[in-house]
Amino acid sequence: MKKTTLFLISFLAINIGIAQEKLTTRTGKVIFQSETAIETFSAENNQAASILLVDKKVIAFNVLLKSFKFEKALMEDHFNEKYVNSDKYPAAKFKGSFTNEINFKTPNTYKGVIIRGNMNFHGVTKPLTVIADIKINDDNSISFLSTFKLNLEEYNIEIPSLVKDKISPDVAVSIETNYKRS
Amino acid sequence: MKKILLLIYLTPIILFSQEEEDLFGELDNLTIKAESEVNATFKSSRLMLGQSTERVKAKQLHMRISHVFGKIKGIDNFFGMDHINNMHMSFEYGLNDYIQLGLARSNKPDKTYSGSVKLSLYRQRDGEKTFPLSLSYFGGIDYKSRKYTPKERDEYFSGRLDYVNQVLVSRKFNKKLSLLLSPTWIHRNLTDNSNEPNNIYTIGMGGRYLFSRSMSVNLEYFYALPTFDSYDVKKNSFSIGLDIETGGHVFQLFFTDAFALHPGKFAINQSGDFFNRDINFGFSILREFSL
Repeated sequence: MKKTTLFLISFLAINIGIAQEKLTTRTGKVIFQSETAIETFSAENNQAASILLVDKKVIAFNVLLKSFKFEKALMEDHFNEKYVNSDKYPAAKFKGSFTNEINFKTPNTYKGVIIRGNMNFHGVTKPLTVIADIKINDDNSISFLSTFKLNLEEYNIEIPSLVKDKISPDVAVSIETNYKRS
Repeated sequence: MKKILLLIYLTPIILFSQEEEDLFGELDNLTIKAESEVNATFKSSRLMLGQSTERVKAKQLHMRISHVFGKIKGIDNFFGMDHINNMHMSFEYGLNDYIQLGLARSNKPDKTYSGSVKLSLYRQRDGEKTFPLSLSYFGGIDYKSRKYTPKERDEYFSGRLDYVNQVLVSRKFNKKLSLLLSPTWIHRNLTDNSNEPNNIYTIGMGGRYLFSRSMSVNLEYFYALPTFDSYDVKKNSFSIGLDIETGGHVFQLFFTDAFALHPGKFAINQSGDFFNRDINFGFSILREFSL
């Protein structure tokens, strides 16, 4: 009898431990900007999907490259065709975790949260560490904000010599997501 | 019994580790699907002389300046570069992603002003709603503004108008190869000579092959259907060229046997025979503005 009780209790304990809070969004905003002396351009994507596992402190993103909108339509075509090859590599993916003590229950802002993870982009997976701000809002939703640099050459994206002075090898990326809680 | 209990006991843990791997699978399902339209079938809205199925997208303006030089004969005339045979300017504006309006002016042969509309009817699509082709319609009116003699001809307004109707069908077969077919009907209100037909039907065909990320080689041929009269000479045109794309700009270099640069003319009339060394060099520069 005692054994069974012990078994049940520990079984439930594990289950509760696993029934963690999982927050999602499909309307995250990603902007990247390339800046050189000659030309500055940016593109915006408002359809980034993300999952935040609150208890595990894991965050993951999936961003379709074809959903990036450029100011110049020709640039958008060339971005997909020439640079990121979005037919073959449709998405950029990131998954990372953080260790900071964050109380997700009470409104507060946590700056400089270090997120270590892996970035998969253009067929290349590389470790990437980004610094983010995590904010627990008054309505209990969670905002995530991060800006970082991506080096295109590290992800095997070559910039043709013809446009070397127009496209920066380091693009600035910013990610902004908001996770609603029911 | 104990083993089974242990299994039940561990099930959540097994499920749990699976969940982690499924995170990206779950994200995939969560992600709003991107447009499935096949893009970049051609580098720009023109294959070379003729229109392609690419459109000028909403609120974008394409300014294009094209030149054709003289016949390449030798160093005497610097391989034709001494003569600018024709200069063509065009502005194309995307009213939305499916309607493109154009204005153009070509100095040869008739100081022609053109107004045009291009409708993007179907786009080639991948994914859920697959469609194998892109289909567009191009319609234009050409107004020949040059002086005519005699006076009656000069004052005959409708005699200055030509009409162009084109159906453009293309398919991007793979990343590199795209082909285009463009049945064309040209109606001229008044011809230069009473033996010539008012209606001419031609079939444009061509394609591009990308040989680097920024450059493609293009071929274009307009074949006019026989009219069985005095017009039946030297009316097909052949062009071969390069597209060079430099981010927002597209340069096109071409060798062609045509000298006209507007479809009302080059598709039905030309100056020479490409394969008999009647070749002109030309280029066009395209700049995209976002309004």
